Amino acid sequence: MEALNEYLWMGGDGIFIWSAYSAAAILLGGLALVMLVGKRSVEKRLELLGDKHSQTRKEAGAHDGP
Amino acid sequence: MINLHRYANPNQFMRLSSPLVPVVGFLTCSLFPIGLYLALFVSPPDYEQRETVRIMYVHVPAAWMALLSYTLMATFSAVALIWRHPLANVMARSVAPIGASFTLICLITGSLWGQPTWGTWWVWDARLTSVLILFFLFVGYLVLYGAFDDMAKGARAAGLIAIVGFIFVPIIKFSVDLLDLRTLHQGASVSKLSSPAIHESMMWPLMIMAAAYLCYLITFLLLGVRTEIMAARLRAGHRMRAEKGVQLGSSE
Repeated sequence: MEALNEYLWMGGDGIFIWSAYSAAAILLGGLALVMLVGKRSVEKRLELLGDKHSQTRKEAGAHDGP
Repeated sequence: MINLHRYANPNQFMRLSSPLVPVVGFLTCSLFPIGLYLALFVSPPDYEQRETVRIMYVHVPAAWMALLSYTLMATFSAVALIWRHPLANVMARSVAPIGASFTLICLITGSLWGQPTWGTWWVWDARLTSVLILFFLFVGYLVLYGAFDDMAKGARAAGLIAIVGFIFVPIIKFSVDLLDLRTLHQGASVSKLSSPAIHESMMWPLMIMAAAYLCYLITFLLLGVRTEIMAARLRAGHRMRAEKGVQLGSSE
């Protein structure tokens, strides 16, 4: 436990080092999350649009039929 | 000669990038833990900067990637303005948020490194100020891109900002080496390839972290472009549906 505390303390500079690594992790992780969620949302809406499109075509086909 | 236009077609891009994204994504996920392990547990403290030198492993690659991102954004913008290439604007728009994030990481980690090393969080010197302006250029590009109802107009205005702002890339690069400008920032340690002023016990973690950052940039650039292409298809689909609705309404 003491060894871990000493490692995290980093000779008194731990606060600066861990803050820098945390800031980098939050920014890179946050951007990755935003981009992945955005991609998933566009994919879902595109699928939904495709479904609606095929439904409209089916309905149009039913109207055109005998 | 390779016909680049053929490969820059949105359909071709979607087809070619589809297997690339998981490969580069896997490389990103593999390189980050290795780089972090080497940076935090293996590399030695510096004789002068002590443990604070470990901030270098997140700060320096972020600065490199910020400059690379801006260079890419300006190049894509120039290609879009000159040759009116369909994918160039999308690529410039996709690299901007990634570049802004790298620049912000560079500024924050630099400030956190500056306090224990120089005794101050910030100084208005050539290097730091020009990097701050680079961050504002990224933000300005993104704001301007979305500020117009007509997307093409927004892309053109933002592209001009990107090209004009490219002047800051050499200013940032050479502000501590060639230009005789007052700065607290140290000079280049790695770019002198013949005799780098950095020991290999620190060079390896730095290079692996830089490779991880580069793979991150490529992964999310490809992903961003793919999302933008899909969003454009979505808009086109909605437009077609709306036009069909109008036609049906008028025929009835």
